[in-house]
Amino acid sequence: MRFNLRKCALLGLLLTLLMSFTAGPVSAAPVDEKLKKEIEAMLVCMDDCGMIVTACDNSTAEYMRGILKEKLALGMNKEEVLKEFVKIYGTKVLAAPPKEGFNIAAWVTPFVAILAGALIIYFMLDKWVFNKEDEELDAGLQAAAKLDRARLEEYEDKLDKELKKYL
Amino acid sequence: MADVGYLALLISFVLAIYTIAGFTIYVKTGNQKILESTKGAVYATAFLSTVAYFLLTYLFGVSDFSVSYVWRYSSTDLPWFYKLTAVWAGNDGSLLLWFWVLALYTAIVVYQNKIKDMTPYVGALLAVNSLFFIFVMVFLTNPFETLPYPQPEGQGMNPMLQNPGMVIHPVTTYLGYVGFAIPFAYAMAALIMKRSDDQWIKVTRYWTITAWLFLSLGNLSGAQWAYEELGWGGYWAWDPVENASFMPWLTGSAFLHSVMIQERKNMLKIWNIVLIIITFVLTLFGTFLVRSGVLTSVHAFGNSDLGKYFLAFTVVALVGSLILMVDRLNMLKEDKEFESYISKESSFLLNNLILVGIAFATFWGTIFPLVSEAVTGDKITVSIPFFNSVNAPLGLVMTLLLGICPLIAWRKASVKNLIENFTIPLAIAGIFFAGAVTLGVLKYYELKIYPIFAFAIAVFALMATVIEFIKGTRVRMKMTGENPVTAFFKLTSKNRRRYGGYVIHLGIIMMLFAIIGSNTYEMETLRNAPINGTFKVRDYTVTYLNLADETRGKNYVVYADLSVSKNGKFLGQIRPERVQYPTHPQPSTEPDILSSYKEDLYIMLVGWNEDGTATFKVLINPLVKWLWIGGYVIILGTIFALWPGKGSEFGPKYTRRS
Repeated sequence: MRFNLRKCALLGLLLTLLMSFTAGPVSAAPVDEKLKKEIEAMLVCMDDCGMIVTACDNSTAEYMRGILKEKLALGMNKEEVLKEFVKIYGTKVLAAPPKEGFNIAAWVTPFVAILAGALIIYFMLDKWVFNKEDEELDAGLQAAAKLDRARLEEYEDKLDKELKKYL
Repeated sequence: MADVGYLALLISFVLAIYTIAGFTIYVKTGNQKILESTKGAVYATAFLSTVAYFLLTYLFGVSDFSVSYVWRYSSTDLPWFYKLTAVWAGNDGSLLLWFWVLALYTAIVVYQNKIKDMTPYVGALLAVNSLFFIFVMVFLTNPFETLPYPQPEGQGMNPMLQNPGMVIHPVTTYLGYVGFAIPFAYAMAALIMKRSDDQWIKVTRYWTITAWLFLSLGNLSGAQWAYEELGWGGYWAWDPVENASFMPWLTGSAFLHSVMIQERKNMLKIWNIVLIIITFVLTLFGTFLVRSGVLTSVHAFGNSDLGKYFLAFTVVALVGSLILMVDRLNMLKEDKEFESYISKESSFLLNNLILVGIAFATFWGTIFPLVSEAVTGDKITVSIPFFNSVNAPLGLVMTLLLGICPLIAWRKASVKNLIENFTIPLAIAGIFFAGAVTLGVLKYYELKIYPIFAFAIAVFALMATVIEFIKGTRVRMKMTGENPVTAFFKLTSKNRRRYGGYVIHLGIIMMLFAIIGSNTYEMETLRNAPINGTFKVRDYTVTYLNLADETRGKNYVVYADLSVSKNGKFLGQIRPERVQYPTHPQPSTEPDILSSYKEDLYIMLVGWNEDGTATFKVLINPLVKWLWIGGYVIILGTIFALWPGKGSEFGPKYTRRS
């Protein structure tokens, strides 16, 4: 093993100390790893790096993981742990706005906007198709006098052939 | 040298003003001499921007630390390759890159002179755009600013940016961002000239698709960089700056589809103008986000005063173009008839709704922390869980439409047509869903209904697209008697625009598979091992061979060598690292990845003890390789669709006049 013992040990010690320190005295107690990961993904690292705790490997995120482990080891459930984090850091620690008060607007607005867009499209489509039907009716009455069925079929046949070129 | 660079910018500033004035005078007077002179000014600006750009590159190359920008973003030990790319590592240089690309694009547009009477308007509008960027560099953040005393050593480049992905990402993103300025300028020119035809759309088609392609590449290379360099195992974090480049990509995609309705049916003229305005304004909004510091972002250039200037320019561009559009509304008369509720046209309307809807949801989520703070006074965060929850269902609808659109005929789809086209893809998707659920119930893997449903929709879209190729080939074989290979080749090459589009769809579908798989079946675990110890993660057996350290330049690197086998078969050796950069307070995690078509084994070195025992973070990310393959397929499809010559023409018009 090629090793600059002093330098490497220093860096390693730093990382290990950080991990063991943040794990806290209750680190030996079993915690639900799946739940821990789930909660980590719901929290934002509080050093302004903008990353969620699961993704971040800096010391602040490590510290927050330590708190999380500690709270879970105390038997807290997801909601209780999240409340604890909000107590410590404020609402901004949550990676998504809570679905309450004004923040509901964050969740609802995109779908309301899309629904409104869908309604606009529906009414426009309705109008456009109606326009076409209306026009076809007029055109059909005039054309009926001029075109017999055979010629109409010939015309449709030609149209189909033309269309096939592009299909 | 720095003075020469600044002088080049200063002259460019004057020339940009002259270009605006010259084109305006030409429009009023028709004076040919003025026109030629103004064109000369455009070419001179392009030349001077090139000079300025290469001078800054040279200053980085020779590590001239008398220049503040070079001092801040380079160091003598930086590899030469990264010295060249350090030009856009910070705010000043990235603005210069933006201006350089814009100046070159403007020169090309003026040189091509595709619509003679429109070129002066387009040239003037692009010059206004250039003028803003030169103004910022000349008066607010000069990339050639010198220090009072030259420094012996630079502060160094952010280690995160020392990655090949970061070389491609900014350049392609900027090529995309700036590219959308061209169709925007043409659209505005058409409005100013009161021209309601679709010539501007035809002329700018290459520009629009190229801009879209570069923006796709920019997003993808950014994702690849994040995945390989940031060491968190993901590729998209819904960071405000990532969102900033994703939003114009979405609206640009909507625009590319909706212009087809204008081409074919002389409809949606107003909507197309709105889309290109939004797309262009969103590119400016992105630059505002990066430079304002109003939102927390991994990518931001930090707080600076520049934000307010960019915001002002963005608002002026948005309000100005909307006022112009509203003023010309009566000119934008369009046909108002669809032959049926069910047609390709109507499916395009839905596709536009969802694409713009996702863009809106992303925009809303990005700015919501500001809205919430303004209303409630509370600071909140909107990050991955929000965007995934809101955009995932919309993405699924989009995937469904990706399958439906190719199957529906233009003008009118009959019930017979629908049954014929939908039966096979739906049946295959159904079989996939039932099979996957059965295997899940039988405990072959973890049963998750939502992702299986998402996969089934992606399978439907995939089959619908593949069947389009098969059906077209069979029709051609029947009509011409050609063998399958010739029929396939001729079918696709004679309809490159259409089949190029389908190839792009295939690329997108591959990426969707990757996104669904990696977001729902990823696995993460922490493992400790002594040297020569072995640990198992699913089917992988990892043997920890060695821990060592070395000094690379000024960086101190600790790495572990690991041997990986799967089901007894040796797969390879990997080396995750932990790098301590002298210019960066936190050590950086450099993962190593063993990638296969099924999944990536992604390992990070988290920590170690003096006895060599180490802790590894191991992730298994399914299907990620398909994200990158999908990207390459998109490039191929775009080049295929854009390739000039027969087969890339516009489709026929389906209006009452034709």
